[in-house]
Amino acid sequence: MMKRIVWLPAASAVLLPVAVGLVFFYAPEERTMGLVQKIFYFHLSLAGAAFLSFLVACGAGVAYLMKRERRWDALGAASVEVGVLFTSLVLVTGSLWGRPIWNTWWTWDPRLTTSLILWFIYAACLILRSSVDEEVKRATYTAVMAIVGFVDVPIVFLSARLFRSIHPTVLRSDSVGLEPAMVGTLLVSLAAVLLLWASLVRLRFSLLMQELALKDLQTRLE
Amino acid sequence: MTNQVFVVSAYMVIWAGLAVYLVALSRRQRSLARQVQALSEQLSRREE
Repeated sequence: MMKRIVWLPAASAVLLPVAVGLVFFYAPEERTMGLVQKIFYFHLSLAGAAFLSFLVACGAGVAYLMKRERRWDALGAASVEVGVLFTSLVLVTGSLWGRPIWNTWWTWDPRLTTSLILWFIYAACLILRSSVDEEVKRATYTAVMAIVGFVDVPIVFLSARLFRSIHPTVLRSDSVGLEPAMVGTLLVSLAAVLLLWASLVRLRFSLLMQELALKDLQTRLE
Repeated sequence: MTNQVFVVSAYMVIWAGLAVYLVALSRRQRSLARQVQALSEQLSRREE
């Protein structure tokens, strides 16, 4: 039991410093952007984990609406919360990357705008969740918002390809568009961030389940 | 600002964001533990 709980955060704690080491000491410096391109490895990994979060939240939302089991609500809520955190980090790191490259902190580019909309949708979902006391209503609203909000995820992903955008696209249909050392570093960073994401979602999920169980006990005692 | 400052700031933001979230989770956990404690005290008083 103990092994099962500990291995996820332990693996991410090992892999995260390895990924940072690879970013700064192994991956070559990009020719045009220089050192600032090193933000990319964690920026993209966090974005990938945020997308996964919203996918899980959408799946959990569907499962909750079908089965009405509170564990699906807790999983959806945990995923949305971690997804909003990761999207916030993506927006801030993107801005810090954009300032020296585009000479602006923010521009209303399709990729940036759709990402901000994504953040607003799921942040609104968390606000809505915190404002409803009744459990079934709260879970239903969260599930519906998680499902509807997920519509924006493919739009964010495809925005830089479908519309005229200054945001770089790394994953193309024919190639990755990176040197092999950069691809290796990116994959390690992605693995580290995904492990961290899984640890955080699991931690938040168990906390939510404990809170619900405690509330049940309190109600029964009253 | 040099490129170094932007890179360091970006990584600091990531670690700070994650640290703040972990602190928030640990506070929730502590609050939950306090509520469990209060509940168990309430239960033992009832049994007496």
